[in-house]
Amino acid sequence: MLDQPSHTPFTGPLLQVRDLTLHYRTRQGDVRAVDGVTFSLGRGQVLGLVGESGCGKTSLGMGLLKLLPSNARLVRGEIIFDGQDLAPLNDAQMRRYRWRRIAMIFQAAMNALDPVYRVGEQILEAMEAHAWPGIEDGPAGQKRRQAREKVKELFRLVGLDPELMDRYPHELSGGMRQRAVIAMSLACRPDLVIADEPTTALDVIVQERILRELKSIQKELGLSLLYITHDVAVVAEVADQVGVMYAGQLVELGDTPQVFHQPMHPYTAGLLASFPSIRGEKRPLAALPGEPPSLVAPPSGCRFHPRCPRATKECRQEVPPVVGQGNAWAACWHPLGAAQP
Amino acid sequence: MHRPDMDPASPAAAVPLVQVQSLRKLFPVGGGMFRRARRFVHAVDDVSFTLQRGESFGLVGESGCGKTTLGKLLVKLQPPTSGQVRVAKISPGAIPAEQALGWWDLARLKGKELKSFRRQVQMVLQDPYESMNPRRTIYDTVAEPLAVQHLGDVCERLDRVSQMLELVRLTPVASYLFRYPHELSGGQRQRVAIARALAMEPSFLVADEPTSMLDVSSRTAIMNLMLEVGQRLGLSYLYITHDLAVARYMCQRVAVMYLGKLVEVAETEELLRNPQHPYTRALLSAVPVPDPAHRRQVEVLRGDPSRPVDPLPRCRFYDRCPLAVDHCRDTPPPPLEAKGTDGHLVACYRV
Amino acid sequence: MNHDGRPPEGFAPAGRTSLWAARVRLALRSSRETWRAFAANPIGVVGVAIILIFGLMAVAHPLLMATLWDPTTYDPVTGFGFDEISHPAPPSWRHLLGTDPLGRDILSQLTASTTSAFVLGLVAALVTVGIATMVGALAAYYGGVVDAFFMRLADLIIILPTISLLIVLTALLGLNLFQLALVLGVLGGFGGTAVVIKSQALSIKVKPYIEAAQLAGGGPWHIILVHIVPNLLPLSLLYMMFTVTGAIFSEAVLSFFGILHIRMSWGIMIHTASTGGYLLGGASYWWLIVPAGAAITLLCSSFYLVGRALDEVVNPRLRGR
Repeated sequence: MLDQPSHTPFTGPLLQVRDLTLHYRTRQGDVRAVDGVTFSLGRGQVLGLVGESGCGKTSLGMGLLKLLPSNARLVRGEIIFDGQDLAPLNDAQMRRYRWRRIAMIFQAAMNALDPVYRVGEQILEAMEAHAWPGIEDGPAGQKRRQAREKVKELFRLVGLDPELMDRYPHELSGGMRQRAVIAMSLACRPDLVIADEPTTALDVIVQERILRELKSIQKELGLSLLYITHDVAVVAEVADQVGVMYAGQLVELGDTPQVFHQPMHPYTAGLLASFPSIRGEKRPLAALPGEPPSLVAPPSGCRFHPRCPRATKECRQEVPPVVGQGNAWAACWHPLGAAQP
Repeated sequence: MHRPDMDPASPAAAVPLVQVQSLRKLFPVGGGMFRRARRFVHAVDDVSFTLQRGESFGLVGESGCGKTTLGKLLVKLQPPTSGQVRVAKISPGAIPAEQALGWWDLARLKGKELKSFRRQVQMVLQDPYESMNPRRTIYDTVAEPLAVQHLGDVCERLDRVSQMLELVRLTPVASYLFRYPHELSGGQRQRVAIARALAMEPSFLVADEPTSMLDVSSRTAIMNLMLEVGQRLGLSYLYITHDLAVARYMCQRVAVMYLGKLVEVAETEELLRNPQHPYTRALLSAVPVPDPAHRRQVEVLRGDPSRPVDPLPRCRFYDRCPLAVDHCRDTPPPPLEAKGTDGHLVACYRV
Repeated sequence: MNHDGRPPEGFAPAGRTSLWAARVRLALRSSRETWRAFAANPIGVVGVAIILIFGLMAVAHPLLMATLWDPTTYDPVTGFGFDEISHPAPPSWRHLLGTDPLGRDILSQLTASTTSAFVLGLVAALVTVGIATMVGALAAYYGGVVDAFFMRLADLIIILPTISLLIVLTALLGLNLFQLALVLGVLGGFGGTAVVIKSQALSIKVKPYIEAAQLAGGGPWHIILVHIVPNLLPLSLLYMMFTVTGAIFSEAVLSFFGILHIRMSWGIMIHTASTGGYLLGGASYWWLIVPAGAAITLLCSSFYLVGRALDEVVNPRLRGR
């Protein structure tokens, strides 16, 4: 199996994000894509991040690695990864973290493989560019052989035939390519993997298999996983904890069963009620009224108030308080479970 | 437009609306102007089924299984390679039990006949972003069918378009009529697409994954809108989707498609409760459930679906099937036959 | 773009007239928007400014001839500067750009030729784009034999050496300005421009809104004229600009060889200087060559600049944030 993780003396949660705020400058004004997001992710934990498109979840994921377009700006906040704040680091310093310690699986990653190179070759090339992480020092040829062995092992880990290393991307199906990308992300034995909609473009049978493999690898290697998706059903399958994002803000966070069975924020409840299921009684689905707000000029007070059935005057005027504690909370004036206003 | 004499609670006694017989569509692979293609993708392969009047029929399958092609064959956007599609002629406003005025045979439709067929049979396309001409206003888009069919004068069309926009809840109508598609969100555009499809009061609608490209909240709103409008106008529809949960919500009956063939057809709840075909069983077991307490039994399949390029004359599912035996390999594809309870059809030698 | 359901402008549709009023307002709004996007690019503004200056020159010539300029002295073809001792005379107050070897005023020739340059360029461009758009749309929509015919025809025109062909044609037929414009337009329209526009039309033909139009019951002509052609127009307009450049340039070349039946043009001005042997005189007779040469270069490049700027409006991908 792969080598054991090197234990660092820092013993707090692996990732602590505090008040992270990220803006994009556009012609229309600043888009507040991520606004005051705070959460932490423990070692070996899976945190699912759900929300509609445009809620800032992808920006958040990219922001953690500071892989942002030129018009983006990290306004404030801390990204404390293994005791070290990443927020003030520059690009060269970030490179020590990207892929080696924090890996990312993109939404369209399976289409990002270069069609003219063999799949395994691309992984080896990336390892070479990063000065052969996790490979013993030695002559170049020997390092390359070792790395090849390692990639084979990774392929087995994600349920791919190691023979496929020497195929071109177009010779693999979408599911196989996505698994090769996952193998690539694991090559440096990262502590944290950020997966942004890794199965969205895939069919359910393939999706199920990849989710299962991702989950078992995560357990086996003791990885922490930040799983970003719009699909609440997928989150229910993979995550220990769920964070719900709306209009750039985290509105509810809690253990998965808790959030699914006793949601506190009306948006969470609305989101859950709008998903059809093949299990249980067939029930009418309630669509959330309206559409998500513009992030250039978000609504005052609680950003959800224009669509919220429980909204009152204070919701329209004042930023909602955080109710609940620790790793189970919601930002709401009138959380569900409390008395109707 | 509203039909009070139709009781949605009692589905019409089986009066066929669409009959599909041995429908087949092959697409050539490669080939060119001077070179005949030698190999063919069997996108739709010997498909037969009947859709009843007033019914909502789901067509479920993974990407590339041919479900969109089948939908396009039914509305004559593409000609079939062989086989027959017949659609009952129904006068607008007819109640479900009423006699049809005759049958349209899609292969013979041309000119005037084709135009009047288009009035009765419509389709909602998958992509709300590309299914509207970016240079035409919402009014032009919804009025297009009325204009090309020369229905009404300009004022009547304007009235009709306003009525349709109200039906799909794009209100206040005046604020939407002269906007361009790019000024609307995906959900709003799909509402426009539905308004366009319904403008001529069709009796049969093919909906090709109308919600798959939409966001979570608009998705549910569009599904609810289609259910409601379908009931109010007495529409029959074929709802194409890759998502069994969506099919369950939208459809009374479901057909499961695999590599160009229907493998199982049943009432929706019956199919979910009692899936027979090994592919259906695997598909069902793989659908994620939005409930962390739910623990499921996954039926693992080998391999990935391939493209059905010149498939061997055997069950399309043979390579991946957990139940496959030599008989499945050596005999032609199994026919879709009634198994067990009434109306439950399965195409498998092993169940 | 707003998604919040607020009415953008107060349209209150109540019948035929308001429908037209709404359309006019939309057209105005979209042309305002297009102009704003276009004006954001200095290249385009410079191009338009140069074109406007030439436009003023074209308008100025008949006015000056009617007022300040005496036709016996200043007529671009038959005038003669009796006031000068010898010709070609260098610039003076009476002849701001001097005279040519035949004693004619250069400034008058220059401004008189502007009109013909515009007529030639615009006629050629309109013909080219009209033909190319229809050919491209038809070839893309019908494909098969229609496509093969038009595309092979285009190949044939592309491989023909254009200038030599034009020399032969003008020598045989004795073309005047308008006929030359038509020939250039037809060659361009069935040639390279048609190929470019067809490839664009192909990408429009496979859009789902074409299927939606078929579903509505629209026939081929409805689809071509209502859906394909309007979406080709931005690209057509772009190629129009480039065609103007090409046409003016071709005219200059043919005039330089002195084989066109044209009263006066920038090319003829250079031709006159050349046949008198003044081209070899170097910089000493600069006023014979520089004004006409600069006019050709500037007008050609101004249309090209406008085309480039339009390209950025038409292809939002090229537009910066």
